Amino acid sequence: MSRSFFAHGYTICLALATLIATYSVVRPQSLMPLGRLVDLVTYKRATRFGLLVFWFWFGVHYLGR
Amino acid sequence: MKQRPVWLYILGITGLWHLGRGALPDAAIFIAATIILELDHRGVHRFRYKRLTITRFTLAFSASVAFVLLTFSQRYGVIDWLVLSAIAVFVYLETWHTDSRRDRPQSQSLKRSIIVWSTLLVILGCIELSAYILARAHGGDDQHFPTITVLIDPSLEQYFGRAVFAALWLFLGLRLLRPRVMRDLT
Repeated sequence: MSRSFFAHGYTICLALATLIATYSVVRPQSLMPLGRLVDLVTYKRATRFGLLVFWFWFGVHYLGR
Repeated sequence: MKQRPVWLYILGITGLWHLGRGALPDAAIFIAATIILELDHRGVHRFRYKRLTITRFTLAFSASVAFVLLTFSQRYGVIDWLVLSAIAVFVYLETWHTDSRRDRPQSQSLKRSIIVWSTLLVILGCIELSAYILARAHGGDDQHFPTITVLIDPSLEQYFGRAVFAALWLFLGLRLLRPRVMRDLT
């Protein structure tokens, strides 16, 4: 029961992310597409650095732990 | 006085969290990143490098080699660590250039996007954190209270799962990094 609760929770988040990403491509005037959003927020070094630290950690966590 | 970037706090808190749960390699990554941002905030200019420029061939070749090694080498082995260390150096040199544009265009769609994506990430983080805390509270029962790692870890034990993860991970990294590529001299 609790296992499926958490598994469903993660799946719903993934489904929502897909929905939001699709919606932002269809209606870019109300929600900025993800690619453009990434381009804009990564103009700042601290943001770029912070996001890439999390990205790098994912690699270490799953591949090189 | 110049305000510290919010990422300094996010990385610092994450580092302390990993330190608290005894995950020292994870803590080391975030705490080192926090120190780098703090030194940058204090104006330590020797951490600033000119942005790297590499050829398209070098980038494609390096990414392919990294993909093959991460997929087919022994998981958690020395080769994985060497590849990840090389990636860390490259990412650092490629990331640490000055802000590309000072005036970030503000729009309602940008603000909405930041709010929507941040909210989703916070919800995901809360679910993951709840699973972690409940598993610990139940004597490490991560089968009933699985974190994302517990769910996807078995598939990473197989080559196919590792290949998919490595490909997605490298693609996302290159998309975030957007390395400066010059035309090959052919």
